Amino acid sequence: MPWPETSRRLTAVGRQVFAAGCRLPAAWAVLLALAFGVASAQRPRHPAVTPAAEREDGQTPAVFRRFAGQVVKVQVIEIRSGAKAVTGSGFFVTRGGHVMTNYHVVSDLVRKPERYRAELIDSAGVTRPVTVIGVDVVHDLAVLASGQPAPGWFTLEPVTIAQGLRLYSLGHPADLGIAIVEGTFNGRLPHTLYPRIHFTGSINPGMSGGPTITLAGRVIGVNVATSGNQQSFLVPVDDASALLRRALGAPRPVDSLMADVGRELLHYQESYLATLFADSVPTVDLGGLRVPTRPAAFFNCWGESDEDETQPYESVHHYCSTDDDVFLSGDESTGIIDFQHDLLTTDALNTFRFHALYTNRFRSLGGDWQLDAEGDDDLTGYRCRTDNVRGGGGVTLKTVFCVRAYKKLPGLYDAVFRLAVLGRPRMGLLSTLTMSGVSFANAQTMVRRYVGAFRWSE
Amino acid sequence: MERVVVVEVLGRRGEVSQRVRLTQLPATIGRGWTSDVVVGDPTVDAAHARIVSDEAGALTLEDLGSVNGIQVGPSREKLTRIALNGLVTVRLGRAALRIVSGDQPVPPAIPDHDPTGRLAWLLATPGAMAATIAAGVVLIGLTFWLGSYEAKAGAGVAGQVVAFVAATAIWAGIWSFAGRLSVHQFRFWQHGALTWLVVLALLVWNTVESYADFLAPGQEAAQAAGGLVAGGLVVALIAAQLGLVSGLRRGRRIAVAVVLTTAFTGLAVLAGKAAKHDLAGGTVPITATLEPLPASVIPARSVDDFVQRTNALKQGVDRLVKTE
Repeated sequence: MPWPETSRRLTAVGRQVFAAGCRLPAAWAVLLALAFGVASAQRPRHPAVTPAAEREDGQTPAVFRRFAGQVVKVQVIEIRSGAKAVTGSGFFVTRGGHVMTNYHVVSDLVRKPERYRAELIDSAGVTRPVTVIGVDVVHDLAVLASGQPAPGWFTLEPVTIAQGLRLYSLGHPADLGIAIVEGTFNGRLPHTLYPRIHFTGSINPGMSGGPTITLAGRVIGVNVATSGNQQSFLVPVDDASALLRRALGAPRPVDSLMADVGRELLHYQESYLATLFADSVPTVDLGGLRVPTRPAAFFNCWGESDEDETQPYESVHHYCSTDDDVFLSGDESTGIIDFQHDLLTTDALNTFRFHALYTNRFRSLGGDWQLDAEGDDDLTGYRCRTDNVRGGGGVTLKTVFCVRAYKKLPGLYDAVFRLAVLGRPRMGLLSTLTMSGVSFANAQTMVRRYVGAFRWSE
Repeated sequence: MERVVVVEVLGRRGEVSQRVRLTQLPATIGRGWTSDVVVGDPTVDAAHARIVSDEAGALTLEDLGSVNGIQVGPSREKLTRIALNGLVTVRLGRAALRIVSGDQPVPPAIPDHDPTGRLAWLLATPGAMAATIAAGVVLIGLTFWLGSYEAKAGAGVAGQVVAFVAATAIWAGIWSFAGRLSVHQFRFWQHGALTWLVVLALLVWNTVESYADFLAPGQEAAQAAGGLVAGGLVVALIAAQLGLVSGLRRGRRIAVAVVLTTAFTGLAVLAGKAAKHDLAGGTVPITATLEPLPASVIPARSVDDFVQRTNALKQGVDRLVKTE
């Protein structure tokens, strides 16, 4: 993916770390388990704890005893090698043995059902095959059917709780056996496209898909991501409940799930792009130009200036991005919109030398940023069109519009639009709008609206 | 008719060190002073061999019982008689001789022409050649300078200019060497002046193309035509240089130049593709240039018109989905 890497997209980065963690090879898990085993062997097996101290330890052991049996480990197995490709967690949500987990735990299976199969391991250590009967790619959820009754199950009902309430997260971190993590509820994340619960507690890789519950066992959310330092994120129970209803009402065959993913992503982008950049976009002044900034609450923007005294030019950057990417596979996410303005000015260079710099930056904005000419299994190569455009605000622009198609998700495209403001001898402004997982018509609409937001300041 | 046989005694590097014209046969070859052809090599006998003619006029080289005998080609076999048909090179001991019958034809003379055509005055005028080279160096320096944007770019630009001048000198040198071999004319400055003339033309054309692409971007036909013009300039250069190093006619020179230019371009494209593939895995280059022109002179479309025209991209990538 050509998206500029930024450490600010904590959820995204956290998600990647999380997903990578889920893919810990079995050998690592064994090593880790051994290390833990050795460490624990050096301690007394039965530390001397008085009954009073044990009571002071709170309710966690009780929660664990009561609900651990309803939490399972989910494994995706590569059929050819017979080895685990991904491990995660899940929990029973019906008497009939349906299991809720994350889409990203079973994404390999959804994308290549001929290459993978899934199974669950319950608290008794019994392994059963499961099938995926419904997915919600945007919220990162999936429902599995095990075909056998559950020993116990969680009901998915809307809950209202106060910030600070103690919650318990259950799951199978890194193949180490089931674990319980205490933490606190810190409300929904502000400014996200789709809701996420902020859980302050150390959810670890492998716990993806496990439940986070109250003392009474009411599900608050599904473990989905972490950005470290006890900042963890949950998918709200409402979304899980909606998916469960849908999946139970009309279970989907596994080979039609990818089409569901495509339809869902198309629907999703329609909803959040409908008003993006539409009217009265907030703007900032950059080099005498009004340029768009933070077009919606779910965008975050940052700015920085290069203060390298050894360069004969100055540059100022303004960058905005959505935080809410949608996980497609281990190396592919979609649903990100971001844009960046780069202002270049000079006193030391003449206009020809400045334009040599400007051309160079226009051709290679963002360092290693590249447009793949050749496609892969999932995406075609990029195709581009270059033109000169006079914007509504009287700004003359060089424009490049590049697009590639998703091969397995018909109707979805990645698009990159880049412009350079023309006509100033020693000032240039480059701007790049990147959109992933959008319809072609929406990409065109975004370009139209985006260009319309550029004006000379009076 | 008088029978003439010519014996050429060759030096170490194959050059003719002595040429003897024999009109009476038999004629002797040896180190002895009475020999008709005196060969001063210590491995040659005083009377080593002789050239005889039979009634039919056929020539034969006969060994006169020498220590080292007669050898032909790479073989070390000592021969006693060798038929002399046409031009024959033999070894007597360590001495190499070329024996040729006087009626043997020689190739036609290479024309020793001064350059003709429109550029003749340039190639005949040292001042004009110096001016061309100087103008080329100044313009390439200016181009490198205006294309640089780093602080203290002077040293880098100077380095680029030196490298470029060295490259043209090597190019001109290769042609000069070829001329020295083929027509015994070095003409280094003429080759240099021609090269720089074309460099000047390419620089001017490159600028024209760049501005044309800036004002009317994405015209693939114009880009192809631009490439053809640049290729034509290189063809003209090679054809002119072929004129300096050979007696080829104009049509033949142009044909050779076209073949060479196409081959060079093909190699460059392949090398470029290979390099790109290794380094970047195949990326779409954005080739647009940004030139310092006032906005009022830049033809531009409306946003709606531009967006409308991107519809073709959708068809393009949708086709890729089906074909890949």
